[in-house]
Amino acid sequence: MLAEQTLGRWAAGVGAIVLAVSGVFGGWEKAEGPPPTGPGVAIDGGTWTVTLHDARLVGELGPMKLPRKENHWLAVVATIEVKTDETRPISGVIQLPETAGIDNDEDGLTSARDVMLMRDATIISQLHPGMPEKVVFFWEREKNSPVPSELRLVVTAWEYRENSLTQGNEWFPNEDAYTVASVPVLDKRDATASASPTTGPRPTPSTTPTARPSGSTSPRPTASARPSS
Amino acid sequence: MSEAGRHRKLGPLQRFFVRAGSVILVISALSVGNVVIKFTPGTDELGRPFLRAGEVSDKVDVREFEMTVLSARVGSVIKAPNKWEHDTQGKWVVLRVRLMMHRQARIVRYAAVHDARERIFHFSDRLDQPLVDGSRLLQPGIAVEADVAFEVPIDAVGLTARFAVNGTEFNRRLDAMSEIALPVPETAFLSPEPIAIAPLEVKP
Repeated sequence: MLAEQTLGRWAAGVGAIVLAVSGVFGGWEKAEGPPPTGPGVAIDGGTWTVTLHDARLVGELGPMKLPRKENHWLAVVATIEVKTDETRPISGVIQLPETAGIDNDEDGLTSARDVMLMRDATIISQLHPGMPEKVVFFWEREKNSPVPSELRLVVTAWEYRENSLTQGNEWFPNEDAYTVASVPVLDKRDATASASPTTGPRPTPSTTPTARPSGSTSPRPTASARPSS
Repeated sequence: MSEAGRHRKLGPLQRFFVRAGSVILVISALSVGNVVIKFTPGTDELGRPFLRAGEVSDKVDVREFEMTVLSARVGSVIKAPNKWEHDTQGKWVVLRVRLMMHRQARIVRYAAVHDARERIFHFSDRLDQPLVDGSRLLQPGIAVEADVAFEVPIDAVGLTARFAVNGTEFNRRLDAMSEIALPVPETAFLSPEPIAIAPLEVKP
């Protein structure tokens, strides 16, 4: 009986000490909820900050030719700032979860077919540190898919850590830090159809932007072919 | 009863000292190990590329190839060979570069500009850059010249041009890499006149 009482006092004492130590290290502070997401909010992806603007359904736009003419593009407009000290590839920054009308990847997240720089409508695959840019991510969408009012997408995050195989530090996706966000969808197919130039060749979209053929003579798209911001 | 061949029984104070000594030894070993790990270079540092330093107009031997930066131009707009003009929120650094492989046909897959803050800016993919984008196999003994364009922030100073054969970080370990100091002034004024990017040329 006496031993049980002693044990109980000890347990209570240890519990009190643990609580006190936890309080010293911030354990009693109010827990933060998930960070806000949505249009206009800067989402921290570790290696980059992503500010989503909106999603648009558009026809052919600048260099973005549709492989199947009857389809259209789902274009997500975002501003991305690379926070690391080195140029980073950006094609996988924003990905789509299972989405109607999209040729979804089997692993559940689908990367954009191409990324276009709003500044001059060139197809890019990377951004540089200290130079935030407004860009558009393109996914091809089937023609008869219902038009959603909102689009769910995933902002990915990467971390620089040791590769257990090579012992060196490398970039790895950090799925725990992925952010799910929603943006409104604007149907601009009629506007882009009327804005497209009717004469003169335009650059063809590149499926491998980093290795474009040398000696290309494709002219720059006209201002009317560029997306409006 | 004889105590021959038996351990001597320790008193309570001696047992305490033995246990405390064991704990101190373990903590000391862990501390020493931690210090050794802290001051031992990591794999990235041990495997960092060998830099071959030089300046504009110097012929720099980068083990598998020879590199010369013939000139460096800075501006706010470039005009690509396909006549497209590209502006920037920062500044364009355009290097006229001459490369020649020594013994083996290879591709130069790494071309970047490093600044004084140790930021790394890879060659721009806003225009075709066949000399460094992996599409041009350089033959030994045949020199090739081209303009290579980099887009860097206005505040990027103390620039050096780094070129290497291997493109990935893993493959660049212990590789040779150029480190050419670039005379890019720290200036707020950039000419709005587009810098014309000349197409790649073979210059025997």
